[in-house]
Amino acid sequence: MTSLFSGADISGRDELFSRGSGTSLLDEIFDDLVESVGRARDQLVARVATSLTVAAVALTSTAELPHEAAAEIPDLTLTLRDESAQRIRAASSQSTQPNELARSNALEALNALRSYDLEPQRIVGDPDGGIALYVFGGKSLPNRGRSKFARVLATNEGDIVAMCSDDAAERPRIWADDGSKLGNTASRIQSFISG
Amino acid sequence: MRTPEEIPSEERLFRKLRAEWLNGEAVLPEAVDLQGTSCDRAKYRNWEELVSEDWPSVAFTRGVDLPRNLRPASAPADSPLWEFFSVDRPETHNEAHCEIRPRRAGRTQTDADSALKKRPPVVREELKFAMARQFRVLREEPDR
Repeated sequence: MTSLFSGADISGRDELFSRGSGTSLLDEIFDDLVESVGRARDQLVARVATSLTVAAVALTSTAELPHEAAAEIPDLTLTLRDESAQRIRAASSQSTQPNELARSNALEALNALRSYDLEPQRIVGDPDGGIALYVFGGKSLPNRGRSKFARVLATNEGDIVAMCSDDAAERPRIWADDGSKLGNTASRIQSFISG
Repeated sequence: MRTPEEIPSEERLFRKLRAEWLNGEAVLPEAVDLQGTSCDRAKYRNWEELVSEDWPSVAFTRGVDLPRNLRPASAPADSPLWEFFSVDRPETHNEAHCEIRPRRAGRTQTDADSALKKRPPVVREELKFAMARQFRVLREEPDR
C-alpha cells in the first residue's frame, strides 16, 4: 500500500492520507493509553509516542525511504505506520482533519499540477479543515526558504483556492477554482514558478 | 485559574509552529486558524518552553502588529474592512493561553466573527496570509 500522495516529500507523521481498515496493534496500544492515562493531551501524545518507540523504529524508518523503496515494504508495515501517524496527529492536533471531499479535490489538484511537471514539495493539513499542496520556487532564502511559493488549498467545504506568493510583491495572487479549471490553475502556477 | 485580562499591545504573543508551516523565515497560512489562533502570552511563558520535537519553531506577534483595516483585494470596494485582535483565554493547564481572532473592523465582539464563514474562501485566504505575515520567527541566541 502506498500513500495517496506518495510522490510528495512529506514526513511520516504527516501521511494522514492513507486509511487502513480494521484494528491494528497500534490502535489497541493507543486506546489502552487513552483509557489509562488521565493527563493533558500534549503529555498524552508524548507518552503514546514513547510507548510506540519499539514499533516506530521500523515504521518511521520507512517514512524516510524514497517512494520506490517504500513500495517494496510489506503492506502491513505501511498500514501500521500510516495508522499510527494518523492517530498521533489526530490526538496532537487542535485542527479540523481533512475530509473525503478535501482529499478527493486535493488529488485532482495534484494530478493537474503533475500534468504541468509540478511536483508539490509539501502537503499539509489546513487548520480550518482541508489539504494544502505547496510548490516552491524562485530564489533561495535563509533557512531553506524560497522567494516564491504556490499553494493550492482543497477545503472540507469543497472549495479549491490557489495562491501565488512572491516575496517581492506586497500581496499574493489568489483565485478560486471550482474544480473545472484546474488545468488553467496549474498552468498559471507553472508560469509563476518558472517566471 | 487566573481571571482574563486586557493584553498590553506591546506584549509578545508566541505561536508554536510545526516545521511544515515555515518557508525559511516566513510563516505560512497554515499557522493561522481563523476560528482563533492559539498563542501563549510572554507574561506567563518563556518562548523556549514551547519548542518541542513536534513544534520545533516559535514565532511571535504583538497586539500592535495585528492587521487592521484589511480589505481583501478580491472583495468589492464597499465590503467591510477586517481586523485581527487578541483575547486573553487562560486555561486550567495553560494560564498563558490567548487567541488571535478576526472580526469586522469597528466591532467590539471578542468571539471570532461568524460572518467570516459566509465570505468567499478567497477572502479567508487573504486574511490568513495577512495575519501569517505578521509573525516573526524566533531563533535562539548563538551563545545560548
